[in-house]
Amino acid sequence: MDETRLKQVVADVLEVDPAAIGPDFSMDTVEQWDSLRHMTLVLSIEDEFGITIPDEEAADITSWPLIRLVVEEQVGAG
Amino acid sequence: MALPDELKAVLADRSAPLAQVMKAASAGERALGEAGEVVIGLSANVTIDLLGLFLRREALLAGLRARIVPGNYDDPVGDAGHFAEAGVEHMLLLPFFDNLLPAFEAQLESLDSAVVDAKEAELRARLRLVLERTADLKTLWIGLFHRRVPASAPDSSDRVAAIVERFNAMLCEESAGRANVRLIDVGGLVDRLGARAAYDDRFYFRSKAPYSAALLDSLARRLARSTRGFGTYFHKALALDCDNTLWGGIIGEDLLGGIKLNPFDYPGNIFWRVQQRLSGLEKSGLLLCLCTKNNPADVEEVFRSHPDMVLKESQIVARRVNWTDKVSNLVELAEELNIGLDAMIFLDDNPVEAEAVRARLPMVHMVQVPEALVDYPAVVDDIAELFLAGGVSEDSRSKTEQYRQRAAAAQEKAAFGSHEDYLASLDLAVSLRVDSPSEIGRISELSMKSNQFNLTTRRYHEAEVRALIEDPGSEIVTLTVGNKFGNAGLTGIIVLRYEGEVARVENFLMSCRVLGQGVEFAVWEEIARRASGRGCERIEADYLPTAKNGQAADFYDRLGLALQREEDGARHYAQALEDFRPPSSPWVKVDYDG
Repeated sequence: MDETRLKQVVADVLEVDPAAIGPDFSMDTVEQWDSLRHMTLVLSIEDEFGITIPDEEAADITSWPLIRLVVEEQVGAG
Repeated sequence: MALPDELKAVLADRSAPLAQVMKAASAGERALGEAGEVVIGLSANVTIDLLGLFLRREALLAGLRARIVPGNYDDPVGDAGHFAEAGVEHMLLLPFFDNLLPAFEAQLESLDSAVVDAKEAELRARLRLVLERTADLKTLWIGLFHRRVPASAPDSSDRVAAIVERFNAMLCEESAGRANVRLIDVGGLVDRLGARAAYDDRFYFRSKAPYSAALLDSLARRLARSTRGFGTYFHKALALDCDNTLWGGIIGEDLLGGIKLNPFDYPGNIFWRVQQRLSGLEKSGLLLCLCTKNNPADVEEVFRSHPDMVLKESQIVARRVNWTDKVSNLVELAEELNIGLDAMIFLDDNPVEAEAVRARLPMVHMVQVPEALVDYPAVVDDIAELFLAGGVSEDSRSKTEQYRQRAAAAQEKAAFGSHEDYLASLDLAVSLRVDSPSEIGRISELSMKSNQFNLTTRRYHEAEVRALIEDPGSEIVTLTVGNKFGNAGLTGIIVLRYEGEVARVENFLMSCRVLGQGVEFAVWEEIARRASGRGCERIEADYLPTAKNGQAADFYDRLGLALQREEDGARHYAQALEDFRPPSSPWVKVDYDG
């Protein structure tokens, strides 16, 4: 899985510098990451990698480590 | 400033990944600078925020910056008011059928018809108020109702279908005769994409966002088209090439018997169908002309003698049938018709001609016959959409008249003189409960979730809620809101601390779906009475700003508390209880429950 590409998508959607994305990067620490933005984020990631994130995970990937984990799983599964 | 080509390419690419579209839209808006702006308000009873991005894309492609003004949840009348203040020019009213009441489609089979009637009357009343308040807008788009789940009955004539149809007739009746209203067939867009691609149930059940990005994209496109690119174009004439555009083959080589135009055989059937469509467009007012490299006599022969020719010579208002280049011919045609080149569409199959026109006459809308002929009818549908723009054709004009009469005959009981009359008809009731241990979970959850109407954004874990309930010096008051259609559940919380003569409001928050009906004001008389009963003389409250609660910034001012001081956006209020006069909302019934 191309982590740089994933970071870029997250950065584009949340309008942050990709360098700011690390282990502490989460919905709690990023002001503009609200539930609406979250939806866009999930859709954008799916779009970029051609995957479908299952419902439970879609709601739960609220931090960078979780996003990476789930996308890795899905890309691997595809 | 114009939109840079590379951004335009990304925005025009319908399969570009979402993140790239977002980025290109922001960059495009920066590049356009202070260029023309179009202001669009979105009012819905579901979440459609992503539509804003796609509308920005459409606007940029038309050379404009779109400013999107979001509405509140299911508050079209309130939205219509605040949109006007925000300078909105185009408003979308999108009521999602299944969410008119919770799981409306599933409920319908067993729902009492009186409830359905009441819902229809309520929708009608609200629509009238919206129509009243939007008379000055350039456009009011109204999304027609459509079902979410296909009928399970094999003949698809279930109750849902019947009610959808009835409610849509109501929308048509009420908006008949309103020149700025465009009815948008959202269900048609869903059908075109297919339900599986048009809906995303993950976000419907969790966030009330039923539509997929693909559907919202096609909706944005439809909305832009219906306003002719937000007023940036107005196509009046369609110039047509002949060989392999109006018929298959080349008349100069294949001769009259050899060209393909037979309605019963492929590929003749494609060209015949296209001609039928063009003929229909001509009848609705599109000017047709010929711009083609042929011998005039050959073309004349096809028009006069081919048995399957649909278009008649009388339907062609101007022609350039010669061997001159198309660019010069188009310029001449525009002059002859006395229209601008930007009012012309040109349909041709030849990629070289198309390229020349695109390069030298970029204002002409160039449409190329697709290489895969089976796609040709859809391309002509696009042309129809470009031209019709939701305008009124002869047929729909008589329909409009019909609707107008039905509307006049419609029962007057749905008519309300004012927003307050409408609110009064809802039978709004709020019941207050104090320190209710059975609600601890729900209180904590609501405090964690509410962002927008949350005066201090203080969050409470369950243990903290329990402590507040048990502490005699504090109280948690919960608001349970209902109306004649049902109960919205626990939708608001007031946390009070009693400190001697001061009743301090530590936090007040409400779920956005019940705002705008006066409930947020109606409860304070009871709160004040309660505080007086405990010997308090003053009420104090704070507003603490966050990134998301801007809409509540002046709430305490509107409530009638006196601002004491303000620092870094934080506002501190106090008021003697005996002078505290919250605005009255007599249509809300407040009762104490325990």
